[in-house]
Amino acid sequence: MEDVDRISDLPDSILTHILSFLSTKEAVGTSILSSRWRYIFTLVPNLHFDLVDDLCHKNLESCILHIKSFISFFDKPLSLHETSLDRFHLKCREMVHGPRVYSWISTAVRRGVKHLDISISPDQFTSPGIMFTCRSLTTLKLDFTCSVLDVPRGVPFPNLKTLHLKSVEFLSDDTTKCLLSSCNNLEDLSSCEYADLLINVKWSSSMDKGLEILLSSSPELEKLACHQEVLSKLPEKVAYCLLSKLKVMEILGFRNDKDVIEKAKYILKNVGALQKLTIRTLPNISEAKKLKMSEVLLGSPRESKHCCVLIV
Amino acid sequence: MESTSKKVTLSSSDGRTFEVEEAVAFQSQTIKHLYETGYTGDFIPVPNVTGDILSMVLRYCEKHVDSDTAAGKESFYDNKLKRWDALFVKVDQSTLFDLILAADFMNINSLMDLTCKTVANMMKGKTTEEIRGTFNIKNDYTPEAEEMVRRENQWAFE
Repeated sequence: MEDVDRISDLPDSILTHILSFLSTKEAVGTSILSSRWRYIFTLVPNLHFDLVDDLCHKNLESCILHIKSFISFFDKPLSLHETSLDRFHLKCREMVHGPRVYSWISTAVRRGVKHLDISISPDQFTSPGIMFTCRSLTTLKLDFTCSVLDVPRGVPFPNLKTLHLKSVEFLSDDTTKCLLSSCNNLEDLSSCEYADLLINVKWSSSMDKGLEILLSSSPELEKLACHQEVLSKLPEKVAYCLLSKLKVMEILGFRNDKDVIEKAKYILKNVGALQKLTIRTLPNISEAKKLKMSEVLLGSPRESKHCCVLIV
Repeated sequence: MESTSKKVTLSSSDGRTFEVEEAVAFQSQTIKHLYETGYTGDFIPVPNVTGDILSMVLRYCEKHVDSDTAAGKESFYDNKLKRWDALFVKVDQSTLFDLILAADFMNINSLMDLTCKTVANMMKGKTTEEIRGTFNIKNDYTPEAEEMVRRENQWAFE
């Protein structure tokens, strides 16, 4: 009974679904199993490449060979297949040249990609503007070390629900505003270096407004992670009325400043939908201080009965 | 949750019947759609699924209905449910494939994802020979053909 090959009898649609949980490298690898499997991988609507992971156990020479054969392989499925693309995850650090990454992202956008997760750091790379004309996009995660983000003016992101930005540098002040004010359906936002990022682009005059602009243009926001500095710049009454749907909030780099504690108390007191508030403290905050903080926060009045507070 | 919930009866391919709450059965998009388009029969035949598998599928749906009504996804219910799911798919291969076919036929997205992901995990980190062995896949390539496929997709085999 157990000698029967049941998996190969499954219809293409199910095999495709199974392969969609593997990296593209592993999915392509199944082509060698038997003739039944030869072209199944071409039907998978996800492309998931992690060159960093692929190369971690290789020496320099085989790394170079690997990158070469990866590039020639990669140019093929992206340009040949005209099927729609659901997810495109690319992690290649500085290993692939900017113009090539640029053209890959453009192709993915043309194929109507919904989830884009790009982690790159080529020299002098400016993100393709076309990325921001992609109306199909629902998730955008960018980790862009040494790269600059350019957002064309007045382009709406009607479907974007999740936006994660890491090490992102904006081309100009306008870019930041363009991006933040064009996402009307955002539900999940995280930006580790949000505050740094605003300082980077010398957006100091309107820095106070950063989170406000975002909140007022994203009434659907459910998850928000931000640096404590961003939070402390926020005027209380105006912005928090917009937080009615917020369920999960994370405050990063917490230094136990009095006004931020007040802000946290204000959030607990006023955000009725809140389920989880996580406060990530800086490493130099002692356990005793944390304990004191949790006493203050746990003792303060809470609008949401189900909210749990985590201090780490 | 409503206190007086409607019940529906499902009948499996081997003639066993199962009475469940409507909300449980409606985890299956196929059944939900059937009712939405005006089905009024006493019971719903599920011709492709045996009683043993159907009872497992309904147990899964019951669990997920309960959890959907309990607080949001971020809460600790979610972790508890994940652990329950992990135990649920600890079954032999034959049962696992039956569950996949049932989830596909009944159109239950989360069960489809769970079961397909379980199979994908059985492939992860394995060599071609090991995958063939795990699923009893017979290699029907001639050595020349196999070499050709390997060259075509060379990058994936390095």
